[in-house]
Amino acid sequence: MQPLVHFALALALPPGGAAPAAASAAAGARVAALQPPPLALRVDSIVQPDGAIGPGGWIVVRNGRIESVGGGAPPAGAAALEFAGGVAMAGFVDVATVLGAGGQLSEPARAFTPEIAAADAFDGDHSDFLAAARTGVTTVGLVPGASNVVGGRIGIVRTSDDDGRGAAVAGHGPLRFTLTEEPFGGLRAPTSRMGALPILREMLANQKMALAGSSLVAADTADQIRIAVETFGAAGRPFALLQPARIDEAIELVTGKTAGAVLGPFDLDSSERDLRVSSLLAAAQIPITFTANGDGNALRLTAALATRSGLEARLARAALSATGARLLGIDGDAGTLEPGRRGDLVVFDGDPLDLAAQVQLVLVGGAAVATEEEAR
Amino acid sequence: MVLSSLLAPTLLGALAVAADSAAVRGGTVVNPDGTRIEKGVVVIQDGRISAVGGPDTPIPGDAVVHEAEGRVVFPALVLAHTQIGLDITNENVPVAPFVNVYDAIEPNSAEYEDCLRTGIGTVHVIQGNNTVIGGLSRIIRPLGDMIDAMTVRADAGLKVSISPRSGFNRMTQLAELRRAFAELAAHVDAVAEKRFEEEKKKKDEKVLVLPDEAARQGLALVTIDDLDARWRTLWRVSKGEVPLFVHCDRAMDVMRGIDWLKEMKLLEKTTFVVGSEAFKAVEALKAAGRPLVLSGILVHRETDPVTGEIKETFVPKVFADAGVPFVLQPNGFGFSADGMLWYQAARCVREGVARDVAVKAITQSAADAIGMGGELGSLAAGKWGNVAILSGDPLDQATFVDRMLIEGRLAYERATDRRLKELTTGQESPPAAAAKTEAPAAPAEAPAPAPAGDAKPDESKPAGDGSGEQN
Amino acid sequence: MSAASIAVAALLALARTGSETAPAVAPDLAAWQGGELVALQAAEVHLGDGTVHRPGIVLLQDGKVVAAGQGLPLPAGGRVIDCGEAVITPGLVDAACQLGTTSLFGSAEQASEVIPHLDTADAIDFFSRDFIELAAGGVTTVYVTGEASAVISARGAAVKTAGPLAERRLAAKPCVKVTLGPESSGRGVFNRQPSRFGGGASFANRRPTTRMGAAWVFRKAFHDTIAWRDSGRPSNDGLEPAAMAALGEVLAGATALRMQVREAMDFDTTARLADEFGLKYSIEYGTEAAQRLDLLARRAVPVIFGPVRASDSNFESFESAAPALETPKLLAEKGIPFCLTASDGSGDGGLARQAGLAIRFGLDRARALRAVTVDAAAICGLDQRVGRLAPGLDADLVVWNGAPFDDASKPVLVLIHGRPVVDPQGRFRKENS
Repeated sequence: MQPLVHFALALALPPGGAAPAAASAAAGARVAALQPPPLALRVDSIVQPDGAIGPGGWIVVRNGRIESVGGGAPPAGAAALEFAGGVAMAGFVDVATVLGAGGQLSEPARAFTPEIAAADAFDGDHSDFLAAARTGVTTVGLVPGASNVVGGRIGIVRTSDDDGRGAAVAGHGPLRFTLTEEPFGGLRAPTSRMGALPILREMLANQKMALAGSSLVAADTADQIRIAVETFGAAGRPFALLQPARIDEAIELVTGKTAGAVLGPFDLDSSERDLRVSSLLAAAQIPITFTANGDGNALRLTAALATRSGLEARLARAALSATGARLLGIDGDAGTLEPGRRGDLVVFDGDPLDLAAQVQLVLVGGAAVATEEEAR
Repeated sequence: MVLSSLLAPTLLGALAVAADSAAVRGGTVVNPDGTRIEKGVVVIQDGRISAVGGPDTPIPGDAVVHEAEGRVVFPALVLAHTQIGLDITNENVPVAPFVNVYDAIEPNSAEYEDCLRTGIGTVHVIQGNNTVIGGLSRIIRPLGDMIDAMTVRADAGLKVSISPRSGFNRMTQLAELRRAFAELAAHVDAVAEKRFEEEKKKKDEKVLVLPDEAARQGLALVTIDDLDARWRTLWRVSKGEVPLFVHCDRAMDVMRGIDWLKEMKLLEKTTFVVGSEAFKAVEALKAAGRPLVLSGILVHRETDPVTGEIKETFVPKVFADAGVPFVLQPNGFGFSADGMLWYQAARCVREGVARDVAVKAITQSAADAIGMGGELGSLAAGKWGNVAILSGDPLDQATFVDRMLIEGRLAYERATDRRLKELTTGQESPPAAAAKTEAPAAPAEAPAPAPAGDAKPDESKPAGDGSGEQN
Repeated sequence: MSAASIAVAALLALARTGSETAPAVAPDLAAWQGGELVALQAAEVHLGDGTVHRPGIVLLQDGKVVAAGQGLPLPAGGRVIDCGEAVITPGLVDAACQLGTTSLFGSAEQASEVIPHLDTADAIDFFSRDFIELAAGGVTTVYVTGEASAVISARGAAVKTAGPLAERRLAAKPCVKVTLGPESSGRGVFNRQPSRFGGGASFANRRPTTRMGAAWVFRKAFHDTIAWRDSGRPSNDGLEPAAMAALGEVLAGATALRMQVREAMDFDTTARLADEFGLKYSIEYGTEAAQRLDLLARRAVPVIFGPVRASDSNFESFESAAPALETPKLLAEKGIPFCLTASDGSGDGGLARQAGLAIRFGLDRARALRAVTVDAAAICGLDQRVGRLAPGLDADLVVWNGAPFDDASKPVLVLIHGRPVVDPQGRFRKENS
């Protein structure tokens, strides 16, 4: 099937393809003026916004946006691609990566750096993004400051631009906080949670910080999770938890209090206890998403392992895209296959949770991501 | 060295000849099995108990009588496995059967003084567990300035560890152990062959057999002096002449250990020294039927890999429930707290071990483990006159050792224990109140008095720190 | 006795044998949590103030003690728990606990030597296993004391060792801790070794490195506070206004002062400094208190004494001083108010063991009980909440399977706010955390 599809793709999308760059309004307008032909994909199954695998049909992408999902026939003049056995879902969203930055997203001079924006360290030409896109990841969050109590704003990045080579900043996301021990022990004040919390409380209360959407709060132990619930709760700030490993000890504490949890990555060495966290959170109606530093295959492994340990498959698929988009505050724009959403999608030749399934096509903003083969 | 250790028993014999008799009268005589005699009498002649009975028991006219009215008279405790008095507990050579704790014991160690203070009358000093084959051990009384005079039994045992010493894995450990015995066999064969040839030469006969056969026939001619000094101890071990103390840290090591000991035909010579996790091999240890010395850490903790819950097992309870006798070691060593054997026994009772089992674990079972069950561990006629006179019930925390008799001689008296006053009040007593000694013989020397001046109690300890070896 | 009467005695007997196979017939202890009136009967009930009832009854409702004594009317139709031969005492209180914080050094704020405005509660890990161990050992309330690596450390925090999170914190009179001994200089140096950029700590990047330096930090902080209070002059030593405000409270007596003292000489320095600023104080640990009994008696300084350890080495202080074992007895004889602490010890090194050792070395049993209950609560200003079995106080109690603090006894049932946190099998009830 692979060669056939690429053959078709080559026919449908001449070099310099016509998908829009949605990064800026100006670019969008320019692209719209070109009136390129719509792209129509025929798949056997489509992952619904709730993560369930629904019936297939045609998905039409025009001007970088999804025009329709599940139609019976492609519109006239559309470049049509058919994927026998194909399963389409919204591109993966990994909210917590350090792609293209080599991990250098922390400002060591101070513990509280709310004014920092990770997007300022963005290197769109970095090969990390293309690698991520090829595995089905269409949006990533660049998270600053693992070693800062307040790390700065998360950069929201589309992994591929219209020419399929560079990545593009799509905006600034929420602030990232760290309540683990990581920010402490260095040569700067404060050196302890005890010293940091009064400062943090004052910052949250005084509205000093621009807080879009749910703050992303790294908290590992049950007690760090308690601190997050108490501190953000007292300030009336919505928050999601980043890699809260021991949230299983604090489920009651967070139920109804957190916007969600970012889990993973999991691999074959992960403990059964860690793997079970996903299903425990799901049972408590706490939204979950996965992170694997922008590696789509690792994300699928993470989701698959969570499924094996009790997470409903539907929720695992939703966790790969919809929940992440919601936590980044871009759920009106990405994360699901619905008309009007950005044309971020990935087609597999099977259930994405089946690790044997292969990526057939990735669109970011309606533009196909070149495979390694094509790039050569 | 060999000469001295051979001499030691002779010296002892000489000391014991100084005929003396003693009696402890008026106290409640309590034995580990729970039997009690109110206003009982214990008579000791020539260091051995000659009678234990009620108030009417006759006391020889020449006996030194120790009044024990209102006290509890109890057998002195036995410390069956310890490194106290050794500054470094293991060689850095994995196979070192040629060393002997005789050369390392520091008679003036503060720990020996603490032994008397805490009711211990007999101490088995053996090398630590961080080894493949350790050196010869020694049973001593914690009293005196000279190791020969302190010695109760030389060459009392030898440490073998089935669990890997530091830097080894389990396969290396077993391989080294087997190799040591294989090298011994090769050495003995070579010597036997040589002796056979010498014998033939002496008779002017020709050697007409193959080397293997020569070695076989020559074996009977081999004496210990023919062997290289490095192999002599191990040869005695292989012939079953030296008891083994086999360390098995984990349950898996217990299985390996039993297999190896059976193969070597040494199981019947073995006392097991086990780590806290070895309780999982309780059935195998029960079947082996050999004495068992438990780690001083009585609670085994394990984290469930799935739930993260920590499961705690009180190890002695497992053995008690299975009917396997065990011996307790202190957790650390010292006078104040967990270092006391009594406390370990009380912890067992706290966690549901029958009182007599817990008490035997520091007396009779401990004596059995060092092969002195017939001499020590209870107050009975024929046994040694090692008696602790206590202020109250042995397991009551407010109980103190009031006096200690070792082989009938007064070895410790609380009333004159100067260091005890320092430990308890922080005040130093004048040297005039130094520990009292009772004249008759050398072993009855009181513990070394504390240095004068403003030294703190702990500063008078020997400088050695044990170098963090496993014990 | 009502139909709901439960024969805990049999269970206690089982617990005493510690059998793993004890039948899972533990009474539905969780059901006690309601507003139902519950009576516990036992062969001995110690109220904590020295009174003992043999036998005795404790009535509990809504997490509080309703009454405790002898011959009390049993609740009609209510629940009666017969503890048989067991002994009931109030839950134990540790007045200078160092457990339950986020990590050994992670809880220490190193940015300043003067941090009285910070709250140790922010360093407490309420999920710490330390609390489980403490509760299992019969300790129901701990005052988590300020960390010793700052000269003027943070306020301490009083917490229950188990129970729902919302009920864990107790309001105690604020109390700031000061450490003049080498733990603020010696341990501070150890602590401040920069982990990321190499190099050791020295006089160039921190102070103090000596006892003199520590005393200087103390004096300077209070001088700056007085100047700031009286004339609004900011500290030229970088003291935050929040810190000076907190020290102002100490000067005014609204916040208590606690001095961590181990060596004899530090008792003297502490007295001198306190006099300079007219401060009242209590002593924490007081390792060598036996050598300064007259000083302490003359000033009636409360001493939170302990712990006595098996080993002479004292990791906390780098000082070899081991306490004189009869110190509690000597403090009692001199009429010095005192309580006992296990510091960072639990299990066999825990508070019950400290009381047992105090008994071993001459303290009478009743006084030992007070020293780990009501007297400890009083020194922390918590005695109207915990420390005794008296009407209106928290229903925190321990059921022992023998004489409390005996080496061969242990808690078999521990209640906090009337809820069982350790059940008769000696297992911790996790669902309450």
